[in-house]
Amino acid sequence: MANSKSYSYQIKGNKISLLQDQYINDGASNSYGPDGKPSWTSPHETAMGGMEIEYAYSPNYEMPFLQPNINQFGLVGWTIVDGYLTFISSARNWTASPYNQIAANEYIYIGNSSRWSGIHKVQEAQTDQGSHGGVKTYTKVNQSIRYFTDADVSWDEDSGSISDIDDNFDDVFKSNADVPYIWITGSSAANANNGLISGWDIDGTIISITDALYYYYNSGEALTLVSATPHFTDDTTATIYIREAFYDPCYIVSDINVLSDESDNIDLPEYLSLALVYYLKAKLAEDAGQLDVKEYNMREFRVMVEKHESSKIAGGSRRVMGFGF
Amino acid sequence: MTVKQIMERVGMTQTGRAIAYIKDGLNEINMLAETHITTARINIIKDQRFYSLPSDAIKILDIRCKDQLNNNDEYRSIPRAIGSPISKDSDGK
Repeated sequence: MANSKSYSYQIKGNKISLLQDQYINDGASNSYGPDGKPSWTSPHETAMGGMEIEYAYSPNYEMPFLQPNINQFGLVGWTIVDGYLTFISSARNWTASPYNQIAANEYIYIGNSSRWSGIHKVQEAQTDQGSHGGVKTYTKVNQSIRYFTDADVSWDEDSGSISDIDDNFDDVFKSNADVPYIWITGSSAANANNGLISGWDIDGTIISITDALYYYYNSGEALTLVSATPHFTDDTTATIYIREAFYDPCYIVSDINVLSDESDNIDLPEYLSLALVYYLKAKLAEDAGQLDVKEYNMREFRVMVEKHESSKIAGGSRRVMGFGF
Repeated sequence: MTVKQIMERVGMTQTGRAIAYIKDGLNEINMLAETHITTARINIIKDQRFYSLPSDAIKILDIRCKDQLNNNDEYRSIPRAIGSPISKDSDGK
């Protein structure tokens, strides 16, 4: 049975600041606990899928009927390539069927991501042997990551390691405490040589995976994420690309119809579509400098939206005492 | 209703401009009326205080956490804190 917890939050810019009361089970929930330490601190335990955010989004696209392994595929996380958001999935050849539906300049939908849910446009999709092996999008990320590449490295099956790594890797990546997850691509010997790994270790010029975990989806099981001990296949004098990555199990959907031409349907009730007409008239009036016309149309827009919301409440108002029911 | 039908009612002929304004209007409608709602689950990491909001979120409606004041693995709403916490975040994450 899980332990009861107590959280609170604040909004800090575009982030949520999550706090946890570490003294909930002691019955005290003031600013300080019985030992004089602050009660509300950063979360003091990990909880997978522990926070759920409910939000409104803009319906400027149409989703297809989801069919795992046909238009919906699992992802293990993301990284950054040349400043662009790149989604990754271990040992995945995005240029071969059925994944090659996700092609350059197509729109994709990302679901269940902790940060990147929504529509993105594909810039490039590669095989796992490529320089990034993922689905690179046009979404810019204002963040830098660690990156390393080296030619003439060797994957060794018996020792479970990658050898002949340049000394620079140690300087850049340091340890798995600094970089918990690394994304490896470049090997042509076997798909399992490429992918997302945690728990890696570096000893001089050798990356060891003895205590590591490898994250992947089995072929034919598009949405069932598996983590297991990695197993390499021998590959010598190969080029390796290693990037800092972020573990974020989510899924990608192709065949997205984004609002882009006159025949596209707007996913709104008929009444709100009429409200949208007033909004467009207001924008046109604003462009023409007719501010009084703009204000009139915006008022009509808001009135119609509020009428639509009120129409969903049946009967008269009824007030109930109490809270938290 | 299609984009063409909207354009005919407004009296516009520029499709690109119409679609841009329609997208703005959809954002405005969801800020007021929340016509399209979804949820996203985020992993809580030990000692990590800051978590990014979903990139497609227009309006946050509720934030819930697992086992919030219960032992049944239930997700319940968490309150918004006012004021600065005494304990500062040590690593900026």
